[in-house]
Amino acid sequence: MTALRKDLIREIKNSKNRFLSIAILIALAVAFLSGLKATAPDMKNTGDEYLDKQQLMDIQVLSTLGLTKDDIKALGAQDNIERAVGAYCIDAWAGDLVSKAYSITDGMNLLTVTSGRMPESPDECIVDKNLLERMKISVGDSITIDPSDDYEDCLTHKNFTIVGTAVSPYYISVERGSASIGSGNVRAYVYLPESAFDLDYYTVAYAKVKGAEELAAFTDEYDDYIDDVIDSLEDFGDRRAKLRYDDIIDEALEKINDAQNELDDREKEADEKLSEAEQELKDARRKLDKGWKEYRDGKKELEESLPKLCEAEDELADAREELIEGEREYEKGLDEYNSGYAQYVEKKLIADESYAELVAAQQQLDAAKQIPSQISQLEGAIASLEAQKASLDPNDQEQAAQIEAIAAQIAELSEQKAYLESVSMSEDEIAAAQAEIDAGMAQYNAGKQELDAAKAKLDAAKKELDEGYKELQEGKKEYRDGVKELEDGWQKYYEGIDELPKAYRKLKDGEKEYADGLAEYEDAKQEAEEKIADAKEKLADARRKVADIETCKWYILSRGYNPGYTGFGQDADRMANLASVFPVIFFLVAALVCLTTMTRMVEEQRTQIGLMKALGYGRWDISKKYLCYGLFPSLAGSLLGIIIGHIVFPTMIYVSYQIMYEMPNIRLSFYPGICIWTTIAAVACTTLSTLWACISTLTDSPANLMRPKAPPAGKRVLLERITPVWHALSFNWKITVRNLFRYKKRFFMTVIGIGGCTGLIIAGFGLRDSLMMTMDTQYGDIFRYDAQITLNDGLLDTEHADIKAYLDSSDNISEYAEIYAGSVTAESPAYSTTAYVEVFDPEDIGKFVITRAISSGDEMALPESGVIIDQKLSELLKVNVGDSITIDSDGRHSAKIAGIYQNYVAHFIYLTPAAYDEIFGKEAEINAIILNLEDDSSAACETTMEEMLKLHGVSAASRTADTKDTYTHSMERVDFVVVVVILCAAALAIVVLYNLSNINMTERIRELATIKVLGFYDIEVTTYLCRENIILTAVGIALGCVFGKYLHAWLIRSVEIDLMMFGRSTTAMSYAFSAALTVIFSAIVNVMAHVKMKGIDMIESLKSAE
Amino acid sequence: MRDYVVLNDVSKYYQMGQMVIKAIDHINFSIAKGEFCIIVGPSGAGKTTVLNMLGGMDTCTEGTISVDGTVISGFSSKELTTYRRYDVGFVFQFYNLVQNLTALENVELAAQICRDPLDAATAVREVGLEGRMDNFPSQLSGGEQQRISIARALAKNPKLLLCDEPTGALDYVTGKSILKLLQDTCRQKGVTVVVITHNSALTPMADHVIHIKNGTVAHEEYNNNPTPVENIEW
Repeated sequence: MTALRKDLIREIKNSKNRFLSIAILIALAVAFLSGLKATAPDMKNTGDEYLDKQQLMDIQVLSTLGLTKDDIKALGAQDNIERAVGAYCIDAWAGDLVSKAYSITDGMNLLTVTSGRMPESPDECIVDKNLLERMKISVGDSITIDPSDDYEDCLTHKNFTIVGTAVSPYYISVERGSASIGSGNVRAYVYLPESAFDLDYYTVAYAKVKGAEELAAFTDEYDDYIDDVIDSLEDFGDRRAKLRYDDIIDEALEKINDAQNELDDREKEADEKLSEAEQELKDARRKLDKGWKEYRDGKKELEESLPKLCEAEDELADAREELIEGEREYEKGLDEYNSGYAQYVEKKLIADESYAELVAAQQQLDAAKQIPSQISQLEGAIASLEAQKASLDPNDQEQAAQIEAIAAQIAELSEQKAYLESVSMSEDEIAAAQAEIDAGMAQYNAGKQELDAAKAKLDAAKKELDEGYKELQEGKKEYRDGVKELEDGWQKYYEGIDELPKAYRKLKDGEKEYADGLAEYEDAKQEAEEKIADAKEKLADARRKVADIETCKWYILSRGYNPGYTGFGQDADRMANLASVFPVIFFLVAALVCLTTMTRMVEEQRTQIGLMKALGYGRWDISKKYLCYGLFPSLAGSLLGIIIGHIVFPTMIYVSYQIMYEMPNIRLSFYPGICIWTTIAAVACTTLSTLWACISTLTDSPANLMRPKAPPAGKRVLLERITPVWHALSFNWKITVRNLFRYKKRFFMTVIGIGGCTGLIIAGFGLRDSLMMTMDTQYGDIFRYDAQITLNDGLLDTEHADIKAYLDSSDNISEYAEIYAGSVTAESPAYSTTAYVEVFDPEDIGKFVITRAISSGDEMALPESGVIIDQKLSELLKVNVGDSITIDSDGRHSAKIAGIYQNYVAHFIYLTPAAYDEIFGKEAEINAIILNLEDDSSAACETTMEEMLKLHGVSAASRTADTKDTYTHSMERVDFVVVVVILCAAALAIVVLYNLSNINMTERIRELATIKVLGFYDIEVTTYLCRENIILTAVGIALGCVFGKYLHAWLIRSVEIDLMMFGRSTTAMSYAFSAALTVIFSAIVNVMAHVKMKGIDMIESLKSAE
Repeated sequence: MRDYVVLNDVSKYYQMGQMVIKAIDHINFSIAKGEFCIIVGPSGAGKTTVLNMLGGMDTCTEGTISVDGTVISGFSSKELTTYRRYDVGFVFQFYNLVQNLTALENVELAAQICRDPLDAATAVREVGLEGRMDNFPSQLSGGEQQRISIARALAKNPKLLLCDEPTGALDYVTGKSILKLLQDTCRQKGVTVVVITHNSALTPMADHVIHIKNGTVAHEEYNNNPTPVENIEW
């Protein structure tokens, strides 16, 4: 053994405390880290092994229209599916409990029989132990299983004998999921043989995925793998779903079409008949109307004709008289005319004779007048002839002939002339004759005129007479016609008078006939219409039903759909989460302590190092000692920590989780990975701090090292420059302040150590506060009601009345409200989780549940529309006021968030009946009653509830205090965590403070010895030293409060489950307690420092600063 | 007042395993009030042990020690502290100033716990360092530090000023000036000063010299005319 090694071993032997403190700190840190880290895989492995053993399906397929045998076969034939089985799963009442009834499947989802045996005949069942506990029955008893309305008559039996209890791998937690009956909260499961079901399709298919068993459940690897498979099956599912949907729709549509055709035919027939009848009726009506018109016209005519006839009779008589008078006048006129005419003719004759005489006379005279002109004419002609005779050569023979002719003519003319001259009268004679004739002519003309006038007069009279005659004749004819007409009129009149009553009677008869016909027609028509409408309604219903057949959808779900499955993985991960902060604190502290310790150690052995260097040892050889001094405790601590961590933490945590999970005991594993890297972390933590501590010393020159190191020089601090403050400080405080700033490294380490300690304690107390506050607030401040009664589905009015009567009459019930409560899935794009929808009358809610706005803490009224949701739900769904969430219950409905209120346990979506109507499109049915009791003690409440459960229609009753107890009980394990945290914090604080104050003392031993020599009492010296500690503690506590606040918030969030929100704040008392505890730890350390200080030898002060 | 400080048959033994080491073996001497006394002897002779016992830092195994009529041997630790606090001023070989306090504050540190202290600033002025009052020890030379150390001791207005090799860490000139300061203090203020040194060259400046060898007083001598420090050479 080399001297160096001996030195190392002695060093360790001589400073066992220092060595052990490092080892213990490291062990703590490593135990925490490796333990928490190992817990997650241990839990997951245990779960995986269990689920593999029970052959839990990897995926399950639900279809909105069920699954056929072909579907199952097709699914099993898919490439990535190992095998698939069909099964039944229905919501059912098992006794009074909302349950899930499953068919037992071969080779998948194997049950672990915990008592009794598996069912062998169709009327046996094996059940969840919850069922027996809740119903207080035991194996061997029989139970009624009543399926929900959707699956009525789907079981071959009603009563089943319980032959055993079993644990299903489908349910790994105490959660039982939700159902569509009763309160919606499944209480237990029941497994029946497949032969107990009578359904023509499966409700669910389970499948194992190829290659999934090799992967560990609850890991991302497994989840991703299954997600990929589910994605790849999506198309297949859609195809099968379409097939199924088409089948069902086709069948239904065919029926509907047949019915429609028949309806159409009938309708057409009826229409034809009706329209014929209608036409007939119309004709009849038209005839009747015409008849009536005629009747009325005839009657009117008759009435009008009577006075006319009388008048006509009078007129005729008048006409007759006029006619006789006219005839007489006519004859008289005719006589007068005839005599006038005779006179005229006579006178005319005379006039005509005289006129003829006158004309003859005139003719004679005119001839006489013509003679002179004729003579001259003749003379002229003779003259011209003479001229002609003269011009002609009488020698010429021809001319001579002509002269002879001419001469002959002259001769003739001369004769005529001579005659004329003989007959010519003188002019006077002519004039006289003419005058005579003219006078005669005048006389004649006058007479003639007179005659013509008389003639005209006569002619006019004649014409008048002729006209009068004609008129007379016409009048006579007219008269005769009138008489005949009148006679006809009278005849007609009398006939009409006779005929009218007959016609009237006839019309009346027609009218009656018509009315009868019409009534008949209306009846027939209405009947036909009703029949058609009925038929149409039925058809529409049928169509609506077909339309309501949701498009068949396959839901291919992973295990994440199983109640509690995801929670288990999350709980495991949560432990890993915790592992990422708690141990960091411990490692940090371990590193700090190691650093200070090693710094001090190197400091102490400065001279020795110098000496070794001077002797010629290399840097590496020298540092080996210190590195080993750091390495050994960290290795020892790691080993110890790994053992403790791997065993204690997973077991402890798992056992407490077993309250919530129905899983076999944990199988502990050893994780080399975790071991290696926690050890590396531990070793790095110590060796690096060691290296850091000795590196500067090692690089110094031996000469320097062997000289005493000059103590750090005093310095003025910033505070001194603020003179008034500085002067106000007492001398001792001044020293303290300077010292604080002088040893900065120590300052920070102490503050961090103390702060970490306070923070841890605050987190520990805070955790407890949060849980207690959660329970107290939830069941004290938020839920004010004492009990809740669940009513049966489809409550009868009579039952309701009985229940109300009981509620009103019971002495112990002070207030009650009827509500609707249903379990739903609340979704947003970010997340989806189970929640309760509760419908309250806005005026009632305040008496039973206090909803406080998260921001202001003011009580919120239920909004008119929209819903209010709890804080945790809003955080999970990442939604805010004004956003919308999707509520999935019998279809998806969108609801607007009107408010967010404070709530801790479970999720409740509150809304008014009106808002429910608006969002869900139906009325909220009353299915629960919440009660405030006068006396809510266990006994009194029990009595009331028993009485209520006896009433028909009441299916379950729960007492708020019981629920609280259940939760509180499950929270008690937290106390243990708090104790552990506080112990850890205490260890941390003491180790850190003790170490630091120790180092502080050693470093300043000369100073302390000096002031002791100066005559400071022990207590004064301790105060001198501890005043710094006190300040550091105060600063550390202040920082720790801040740190603790955040640590607590983080811790709460990491341990919170979806279903609960823990109180986010810590009480002032927790801060006070934490501070007090820290002060106590600090005081303990100071007392130890005091003891140690007393032991300081003053003689040290006289020695040189070596 | 010849017997201001009296050691009567004082012994100090240390138990080291099986062996008993007699550091001081039946020693007897007394110092008068206002005397400048030098205890001189070779290394390991036991002079520091004597000083420690005188200063109340250590107790004697046998015998009695009385200072100003009070028997301090047999004092409890607390009584010893009180004794140190009010009656003794120390000057250390390595000054032992608190590094984090200024010159003035180092003096105040001692002054604040006394019943009737001198004004700290006055004390500093008296040692001739009024200009360095606000300096930290690291800013002062060794001699200056020792002066502050003396000022600190004097500020307590002690009955007894004990100096352990006050010039041991100082050069000749500085050492001389420190000794001068001590001598002047003794003469002017009438403070009883006990100086421990191995340097016998200093003995002429003392009123009373006690030679110690192997834990016993070898011999004592009194100078009726002590030599001023200026005249001493070594």
